Amino acid sequence: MEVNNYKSKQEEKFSDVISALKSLPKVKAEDNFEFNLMTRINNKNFEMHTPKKVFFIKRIFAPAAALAFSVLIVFFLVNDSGGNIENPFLMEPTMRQDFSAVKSDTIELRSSSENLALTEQSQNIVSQTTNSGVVRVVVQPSDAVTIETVQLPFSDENAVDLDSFVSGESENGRVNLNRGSLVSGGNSASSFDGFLISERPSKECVESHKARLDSLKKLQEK
Amino acid sequence: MSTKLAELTDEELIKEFQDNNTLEAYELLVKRFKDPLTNFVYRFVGDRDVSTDIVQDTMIKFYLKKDSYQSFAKFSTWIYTIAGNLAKNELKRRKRRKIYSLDDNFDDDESKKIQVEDKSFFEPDRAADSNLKSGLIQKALMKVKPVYREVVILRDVEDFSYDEIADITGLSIGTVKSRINRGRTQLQKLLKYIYKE
Repeated sequence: MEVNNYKSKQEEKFSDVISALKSLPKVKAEDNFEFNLMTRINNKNFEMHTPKKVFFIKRIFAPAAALAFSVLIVFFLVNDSGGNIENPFLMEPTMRQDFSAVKSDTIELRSSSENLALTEQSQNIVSQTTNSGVVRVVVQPSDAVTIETVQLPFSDENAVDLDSFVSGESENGRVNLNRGSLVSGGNSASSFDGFLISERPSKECVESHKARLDSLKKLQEK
Repeated sequence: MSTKLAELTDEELIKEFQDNNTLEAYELLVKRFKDPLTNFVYRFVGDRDVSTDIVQDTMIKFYLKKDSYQSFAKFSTWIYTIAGNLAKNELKRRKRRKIYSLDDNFDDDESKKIQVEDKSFFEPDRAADSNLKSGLIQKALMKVKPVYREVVILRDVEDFSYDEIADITGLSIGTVKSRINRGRTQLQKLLKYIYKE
């Protein structure tokens, strides 16, 4: 009853609006509406014309993420322009990969190196087999020991041991007469091949291999 | 079979479509609701092509999600809810895209705004034309806040009861009544020049 009273009161008050709205012509669907609809269904074309609802969080975070990304880019751009470029003359020289790669079961030895402190037996092996500076002792999987001469990637005659050269000592008392050509200029082409960093094996590694070599040598002698 | 189906109520038809996937039942429901839905959506969004797209999408959603309809509800309120939600999404999308948004807050100058936009307000001879009059009513309707517009259209254009409008919009009956009242008040102010004639 109350609802009806409410309705009648309201509808009296807004009778002009209600009659105006009721007088509006009824809009009908297009003639081909059903044909289009059934075509979409038969073709399984279920893509919506109206966009999907975008969630509030997505709407908030999309611009925030874009802003954060822009700030990051600007930060790095400003930072890079600060002139923090590394001086190439102060950079650590890169090692020659072809020479510094060492197999797991090998040790590189310099015949003259006193710091390796090999036992007498292993020293003998080295002294018998090499005239060039560097040899490689390889322990095969069958426990056979072989010694390989390591080919340096540059001419040994032109090589200069910088440590010895700076300290005034020549390696094995040998004077390298060609070393002056390393700094030759003018029209002559330089034969400079680059620097070689000689890596010393760690003491633990040498000790373990030394013990292994000695035991193997003893076995071979027996 | 089709004559039998034609005699069924909306709720019986959707049950037939749900249980046996009878496409004829679906087609019958589309035939029954395409015009009232188009009218409702057109009055709500004010664009013929967009309203056609929205009603098409509504029917596609009905086809795809027929099982989400539960038999205790009226079919008409269910399908109007889908159409109303799609129409509201479209309006929100448009609002975001607008560079110069219309002032949705109603004030006394609104009726003057419509006059400025449409010079025919000053021409009573032309305003007497029914087509022009309905165009002006539609224009005024588009000035009403969407939350009020929806319920006013459902009540005064589509002739739904307060209970049905509450079901469609998911609002309480009290809120529906107050929104209809506010919507009608806004519309009355906007249309006062038409009534003077």
